[in-house]
Amino acid sequence: MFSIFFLMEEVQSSYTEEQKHRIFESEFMPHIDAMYNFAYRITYDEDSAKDLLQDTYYKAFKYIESFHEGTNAKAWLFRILKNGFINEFRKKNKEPSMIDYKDVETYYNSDDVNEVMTSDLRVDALKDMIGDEVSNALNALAVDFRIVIILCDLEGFTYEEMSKILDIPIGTVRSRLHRARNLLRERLKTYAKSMGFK
Amino acid sequence: MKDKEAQDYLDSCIINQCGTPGCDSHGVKLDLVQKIIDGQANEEESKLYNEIIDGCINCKCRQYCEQELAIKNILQTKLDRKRVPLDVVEKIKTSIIKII
Repeated sequence: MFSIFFLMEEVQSSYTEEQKHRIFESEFMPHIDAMYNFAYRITYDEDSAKDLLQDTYYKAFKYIESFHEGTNAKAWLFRILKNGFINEFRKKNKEPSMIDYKDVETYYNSDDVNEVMTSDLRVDALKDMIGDEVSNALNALAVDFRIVIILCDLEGFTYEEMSKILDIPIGTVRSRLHRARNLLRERLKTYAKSMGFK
Repeated sequence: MKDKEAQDYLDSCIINQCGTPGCDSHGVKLDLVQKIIDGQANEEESKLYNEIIDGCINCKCRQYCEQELAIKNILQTKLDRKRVPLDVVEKIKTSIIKII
């Protein structure tokens, strides 16, 4: 069932039908391509992305009175989409649950951490990579890591906005981002090696 | 009190021993580098970063920052951005009519 807790925490606005449609068209629809790309990158499936997108916009309109006109519509929509993915889509599709942070923490508490942080990945190797390689490296990350990279690097959300979208503290956003980037760098390094860069 | 994940980050955020003799950038914090990479550093933080990084050409902090910027750049420039199919837009508009 769709969780509306995040919608209930805010004061409801009251809009006329005309205002609802205007807000939907002028504030929600301009973000539809970004939303679709986000949905596609977290589901990794075109049909699922379409379903998730439709579901998100349906909920956005249904609960539009929780949205305050003139505030950050894009972040609001991304939050609905993310919640929809976690609450419904991931369960329905029997995707693996949240990543096991214990494994990650064990790794990051090990002596290998500094090695990763300063790994020798040449910038010129990165420049020669093609989109598919970059895409594969990103898609290979666990979805929770993929999400923070998408939100920050592709969609340009601030740490504070990401914190609200993901319902986690800013410190956690930043640590997850740090870990995600280290993992992505390792993936890209593997590709760079396969391309002959040393 | 921050949660464990955040604390782990803080624990790992100081880049120790950059390896360059005389380098005074040991105190550069990874969170400062991260803010620079993400364009979220304020003026004071940017100034501090530049002061430290300018003094250490071979510093691993600098290498790290350059790598991160390059990765961010390829993510932004080499990944396809799809346009939502028109039939999906139509379905969305049809679905909201049903709500009314």
